[in-house]
Amino acid sequence: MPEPDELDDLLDRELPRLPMLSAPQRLAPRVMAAIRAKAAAVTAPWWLQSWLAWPLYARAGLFAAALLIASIFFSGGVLLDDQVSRYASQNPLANLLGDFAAIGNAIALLWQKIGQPLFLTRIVVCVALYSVCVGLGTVMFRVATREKVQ
Amino acid sequence: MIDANEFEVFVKNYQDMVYTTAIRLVGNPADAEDISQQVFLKAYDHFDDIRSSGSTGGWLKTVARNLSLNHLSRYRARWRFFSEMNNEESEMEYVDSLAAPDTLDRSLMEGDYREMLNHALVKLPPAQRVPLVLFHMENLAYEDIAAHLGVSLSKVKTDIHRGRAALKKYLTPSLRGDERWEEKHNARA
Repeated sequence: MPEPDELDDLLDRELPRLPMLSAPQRLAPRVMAAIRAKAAAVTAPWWLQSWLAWPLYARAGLFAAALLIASIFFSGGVLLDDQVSRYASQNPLANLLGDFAAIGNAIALLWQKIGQPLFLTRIVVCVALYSVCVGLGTVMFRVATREKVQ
Repeated sequence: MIDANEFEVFVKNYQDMVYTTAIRLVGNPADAEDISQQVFLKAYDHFDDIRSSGSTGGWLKTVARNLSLNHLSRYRARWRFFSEMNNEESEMEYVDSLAAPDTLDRSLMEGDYREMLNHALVKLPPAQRVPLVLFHMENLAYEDIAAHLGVSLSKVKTDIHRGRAALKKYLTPSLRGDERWEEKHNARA
């Protein structure tokens, strides 16, 4: 039977000299496909790329538009002062915006009274269930490994 | 502009080395493949610098090693938790879980310890495999390994010792039936 130090010598000698393992055949095609996809993404127009690749003015414009839409939906009534209201009565588009504002106010009211408490309740339930899963998993693992050792 | 054919040849020349580095550290073929892809994507970004360099292989190996360690560090809390639960009995189970040498392919039975070691090494638990690979194959010092893995020096030495012990236990049954080994051993006796 080999002596322990002979095995130690064998490991010291052979471990650094172990042959390389063969990479999967699909690795090279995968790499080339990823490079082609990356190159195609870079040459695409900016509006077809991810938001992070957009120029600053486009991002600022999108942000401003989002703010405008949000403000119309959630506080539309506040934006419409007397002068705008008078204008709105003459302009069909402004009438439409006023309708959107009314809908936005109704949605905001619903959120305050019903949506928010429900949303918070769901968050609490999810956190509680996750904690239970983590706790049960830990207990089961410890029981399983303790039984194996015995 | 990088020539696609030239880069594809480059990938095929170095893919075994990169993949081997990754799989010996992460132990999982799918993860090793993902890491290998990332290595070559980085190589593509720096191809003009590295293609004419004399240390292309070293650069790729270093990137593969770092990406593998980054990958492992994301799961380090998980496998460190499990490695601390391990004990002597679990190490015996590791040896038993590997195919016994007499059930391996005939090519492995013909005294090719290296193939057996390759097989056993990838199957080691990560806590033992990673420091062992970094020490024996990446030629890092104990202190560097401890720094990379964020563990103490004594833990590195303990884990390497355990990994070597597991490999020795796996090798011993196969060497007992090896004629070349027996000849050499009997000659010494």
